[in-house]
Amino acid sequence: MCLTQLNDDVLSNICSFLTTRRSLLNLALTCRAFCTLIIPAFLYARLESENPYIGTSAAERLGPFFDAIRQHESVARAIRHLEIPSCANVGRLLRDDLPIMRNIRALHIYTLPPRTLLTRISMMTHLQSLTIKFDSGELLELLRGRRFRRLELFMRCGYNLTPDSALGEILLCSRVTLHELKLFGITWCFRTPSISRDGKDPIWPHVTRLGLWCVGSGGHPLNLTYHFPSVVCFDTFVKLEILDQSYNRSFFSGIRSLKGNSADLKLVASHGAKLRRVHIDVENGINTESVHDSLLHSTLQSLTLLVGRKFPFRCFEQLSVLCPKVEFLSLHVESSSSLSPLLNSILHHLSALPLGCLYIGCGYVGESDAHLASNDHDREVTMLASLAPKILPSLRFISLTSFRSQTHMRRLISARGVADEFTKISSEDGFDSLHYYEWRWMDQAEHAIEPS
Amino acid sequence: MVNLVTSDNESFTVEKAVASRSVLIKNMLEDVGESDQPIPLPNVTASVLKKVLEYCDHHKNEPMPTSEDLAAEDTRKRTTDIGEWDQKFIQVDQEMLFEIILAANYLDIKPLLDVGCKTVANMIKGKTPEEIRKLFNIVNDFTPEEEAQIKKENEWAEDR
Repeated sequence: MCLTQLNDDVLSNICSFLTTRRSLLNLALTCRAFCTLIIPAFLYARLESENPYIGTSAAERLGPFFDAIRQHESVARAIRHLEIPSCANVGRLLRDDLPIMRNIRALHIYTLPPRTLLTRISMMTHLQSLTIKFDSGELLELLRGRRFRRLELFMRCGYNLTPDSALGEILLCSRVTLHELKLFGITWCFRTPSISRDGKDPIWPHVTRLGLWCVGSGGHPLNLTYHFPSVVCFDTFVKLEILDQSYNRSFFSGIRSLKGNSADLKLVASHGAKLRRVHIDVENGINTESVHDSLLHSTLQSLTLLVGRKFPFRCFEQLSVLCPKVEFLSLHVESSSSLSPLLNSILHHLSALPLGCLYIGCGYVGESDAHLASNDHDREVTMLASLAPKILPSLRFISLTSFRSQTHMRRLISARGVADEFTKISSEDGFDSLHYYEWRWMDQAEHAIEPS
Repeated sequence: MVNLVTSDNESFTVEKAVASRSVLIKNMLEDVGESDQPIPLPNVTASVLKKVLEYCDHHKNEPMPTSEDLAAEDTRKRTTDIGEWDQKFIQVDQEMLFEIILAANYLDIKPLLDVGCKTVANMIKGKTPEEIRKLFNIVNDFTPEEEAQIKKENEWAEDR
């Protein structure tokens, strides 16, 4: 049997796991049958906004993609998922003549869209997931009465979210469908009714992921326990004091994944949350005791820390005692100095952890230090690859990323078992594995994340 | 216990919990109720069913994916990472890999179908068109001009 003999459903499923355009294009270029299947159904179905596009050349790079949309109605129809990055020159790609992408399910625009595009968006009837920035409520008026599964809205102009407002109506219409909601810059004006109105209350029972950034409460209590009873994954980057109320205790105690800063973590933990994942922007000047007391919790399985150059890495000596379940450790270090002391500390103190994935990302290094940093990187990779299999036996994947260099390594698995050594893998596979570990403890039900 | 009969007329008796990992079989069992009648599987051979049942037996106590899980896939990026046991399980020759995929598709065992498809996707990643052709015995039916034309039209996709 040959790959070409598999049916279209199966081939489509295989293509859905090819996460880069290059792989899809290379498969499409093997023969006519695959070319017909893959272009445009897959190659044009998903345009994600990755790092190469977030630069000044974005319009140049994305130009041919948008030209194809303009020239071929079939391409416009094939698009399901579109992300437009935020950068200075991308706005001109979204010109008036962009045809309606009728079948689009998910649209993420990280830049202010031109006014004409707003009308086009309102005509996308299958849209379930929308990320967009606003400087007026115009689009929301056009979307009144629509239902969504996922909404991420950045209001640059401020917005009073009342039940009668356009967004209020959209949210109320999406009570049953909405699973993820992220709001930036709104003032919450929904009341908590004292008497139930037969299932028409402002309650979103299926929202498991909630993000609130720069959200005010407009004089009304923002009762998260009442409005969002099922949230397990909470993202925020404002201090949560306005939410620190007794009626929100149950909301906070239900959170399993938190992205925020140290103070947010302290508050959520004080309400009894059994956190399994945290992604914390750690303030400068934190000392070892505070790290132990406020950042490290015994229930954590996934720990991501964004730290400054003065972060007390010695605190990791206690990590395997304070967080014995950690399987994913991700450190984003703002530092131009060598990572060797940190890596040594990890190797010497974390051998008792069931660590499966280690990510260390390093911040910007000045041009003059770039060559030095590159040498450091190679040396660190060699050291980790040789010592990790002996010292951290559960570790399967390592990713070391610095300003110029990027290395992903994994212990390959065959029918005979796990290989003794780490092998370098492509960045496509590397980022894929990293995403797997990053999402694993985010909002999945408990059963989905236990090892089989 | 449930009795399954393959296309090459071999019979397998397995626990209901194991057979029910297949949505097709689960629905059949619900439709016919309690019965000793063997269930014919005309699209699956014994060697493939043996392998599929090994998978089902290992995962029998896990919750079935809900329609909600499947719907969520649309809005989430997909990864090709495969669990350790599954990776060892799927180390088979190409012929068997395709047979398992087709059986999982026919029997409606979504997690197994995904393990198989991810494995094929991982074999494709990072390879040139020529390397993919060689790996999977695909005959190149393009003229050089056609191939060049398609490459040119989709040049934008080559950067990532």
